[in-house]
Amino acid sequence: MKKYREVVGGSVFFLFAATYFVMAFGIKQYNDGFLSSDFIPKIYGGVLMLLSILQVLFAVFNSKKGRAQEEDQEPGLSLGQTLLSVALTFVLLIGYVSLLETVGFIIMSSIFIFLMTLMLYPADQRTVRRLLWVALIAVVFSSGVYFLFVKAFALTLPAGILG
Amino acid sequence: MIWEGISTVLLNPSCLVWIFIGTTVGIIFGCIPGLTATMAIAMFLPVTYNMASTQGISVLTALYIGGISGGLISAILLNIPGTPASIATCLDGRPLALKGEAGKALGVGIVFSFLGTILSLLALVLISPPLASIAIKFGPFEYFSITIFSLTLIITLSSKNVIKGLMTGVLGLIFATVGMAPIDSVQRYTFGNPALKSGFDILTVLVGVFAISEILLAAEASWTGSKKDVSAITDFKIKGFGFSFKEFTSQIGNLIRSSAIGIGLGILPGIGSGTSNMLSYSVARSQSKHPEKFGTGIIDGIVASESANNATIGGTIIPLLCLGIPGDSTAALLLGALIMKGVQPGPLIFQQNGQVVYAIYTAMALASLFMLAVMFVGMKGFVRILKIPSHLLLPLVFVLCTVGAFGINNRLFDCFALIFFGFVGYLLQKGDYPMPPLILGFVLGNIMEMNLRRALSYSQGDISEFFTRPMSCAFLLLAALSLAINIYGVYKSRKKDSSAVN
Repeated sequence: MKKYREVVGGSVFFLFAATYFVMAFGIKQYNDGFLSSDFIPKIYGGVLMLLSILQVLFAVFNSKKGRAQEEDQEPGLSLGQTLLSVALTFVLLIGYVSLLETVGFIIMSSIFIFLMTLMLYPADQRTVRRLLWVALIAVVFSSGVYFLFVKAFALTLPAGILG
Repeated sequence: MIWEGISTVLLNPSCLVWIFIGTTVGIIFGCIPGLTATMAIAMFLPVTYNMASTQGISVLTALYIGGISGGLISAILLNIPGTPASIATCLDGRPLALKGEAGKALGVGIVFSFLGTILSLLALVLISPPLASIAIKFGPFEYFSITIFSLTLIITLSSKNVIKGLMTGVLGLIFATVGMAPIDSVQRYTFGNPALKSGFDILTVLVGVFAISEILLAAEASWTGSKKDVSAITDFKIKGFGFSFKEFTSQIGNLIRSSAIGIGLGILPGIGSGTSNMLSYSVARSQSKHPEKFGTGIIDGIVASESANNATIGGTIIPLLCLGIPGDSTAALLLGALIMKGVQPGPLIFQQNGQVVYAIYTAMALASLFMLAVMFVGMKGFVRILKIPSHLLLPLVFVLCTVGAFGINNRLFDCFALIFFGFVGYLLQKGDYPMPPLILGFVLGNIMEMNLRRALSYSQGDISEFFTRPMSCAFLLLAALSLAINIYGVYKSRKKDSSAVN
C-alpha cells in the first residue's frame, strides 16, 4: 500500500513537472538581460522531474529490500466513501465562495456553516435539538463576524441581497 | 530628549489605552488564520489620522507586536499557523498540545515571544546604526547567496524523507513563478487570466495549505468516525506559565541564538518573520544534543520559532528608522505612517525627531508587556477553543479564512485560490509530503530569482562575482556547509534506524 502510494505520488509530480517544463518553452523571451524569464522555470521543472523519478525509484527499491517491515496504515475505509465526502466538501466550499457575492456574506456563511457542520457531525449524535443549536450558532456567528469586520474594522464584505 | 520621548507615551493615559487596544486587536488578528499584522495595521491607519504622531505610531507598533505574537495560539491549538511567522511553532507546539500540555506549549510560546521582542528592542536601541550600515551594503549578490543558504534548510524541515521535502520545496518555488516575472514583467503561467498576473498571495497559499486541508481531512474522517478529533485533548492544566525555572534556564542559549537569527533576518529587507521562524527552528535542531526529539513536542522547538519571529520585529524596525528602508509590507505601512506624521526616517532621524524615536522604543516595550499580560490572562480562554468539537470549529475557521482571503484585495479570486491550495495541501498530506518546505520555497522564490537576474545584469553575466564578494561567498560557503551537515545528519539517523530495526 505504501509503495503504491509513493509510486502514484511520484508519477503525479512527474506529470505536473513535465507539463510545467514544456510550458516554460512558451514563455516570451526578451534577450536584453543575461537570463530571460523562462530560465528559472525550466530549471525548476527539470529538478522536479528528476526528484519525482528518484522518489519512484526509491519506493520500488525499498519495497524490494524491506518487504517485511512494511506497515499498513490504511484504516479500513473504502475509497468510494472517502472520495464522496471529500468531493461533497469541495462542492460546499466552492458553492459557498461562488454565491458569496450575489447572495451576501451573512446568509451564505450561515448556510455554509450549517451544511458543513451537518456533514461533519458524527452520524450517531445528530439530533434535532443539537442541529437547531448549530443553526443558531451559524446565524449568530456569521452576523457577528460581518458586523465586527464591516463596522469596526472597515473591511468590505459582500452584503448581497441584504445590502 | 530621551525622557521627553518616554514621557509622551508613559504619562499619557489615552496613549496607554491605545497601545493596549492595539496589542489586543493585534493578537486577535494574529491568531485568526488569514488575518495578519499587516492587515490590522492597514485597517488601523485611518484611525491614527487624528492622533498625535507619537500616539499614532505607538498604536501601529503595538498592532505589529500583537499580530506576530498571536499566531502561536492557533498554531498550537489548531495546528493552523495564524500567520506565516508561526509555521515552525506547529511542528513542536502541536505535538506538545496533543500530549495534553497545551497550557505549557502556550506558556512557553508567550514568554519567549516576549523575551524575543525585548532582546530585539535592545538590539534596536543599542546597535541599530552600525548594524544598519552593514545591511545597506547587501547587494543582489549577497541576497542571492543568502536565499540559497535559506533554501538548503528545506532539508532540515523535511523531517523523514529528504527527497519528498525537496519536492514540496521546488513545488513552492514553482507556485512563486506564477504571475509577472521579476525584472522584465513577462507573464508566466497566467493562462490569460488577469487575476493571476500579480501571482498568488502568500496568505492564500499558507491558509489553503494548512487550514483548508485540515477541513478536507476532517470531512474524510467524519464518515468513518475515526477518532482524529481536535477536541480529543481537553485534559490540560496550567499553573503559572506551565513550565519550570529549570526548563527556562535550559533554553537561554536557544533564546539568544534564535533571537539573533530573528534580528538578523529582520534587518534584511524582503526576508522577514515568515522565514526567520523556520530558519531558527532548523538551526536549533541541528545544534541540539537531541535533534531526534524535535517534532515530538519539546519546548526547544517552540522557543526557537517564537523568539525568532518576535525578534524579527525589532530587526525590521532598525533599517526602517535608520535608513528609511521598509523590509516588508508591514514596515512599508509603518514608514508611510511615519512620513504622514512629518517624521522623516533616515540617518538624521535621531537629531530631527529624537523624541519620536524614543517614544517608539517605549511603545514597543509597553506593547510587549501588554502582550505578555493579555495572552497570559487569555490563555485559559484560548485553551477552551479545544473544547469546541471539530465538526463545528472547522466550518467557523473556514468562514474566517474566507474573510481574510477576501480582505487581501477585496476580490473573490483569492478565496478560490484558497480552496485550490487547500486541495493541493490535502493531496500532499495524503501522500505524506512535508508542508513547511512549500511555504519556504514560495516565500523565497521571487527574491532569489530577482536577485540572481539583477546580479547577472550588474556583472554582465559573470558568475564569478558571487564568489569574489566576501559576504556573498561566505553565505555560499555556509550553504554548502549546511548542506553537508544536513545530509550527514540524515545519513546518520537512517543508519541508526536501520540498525535499530535489525
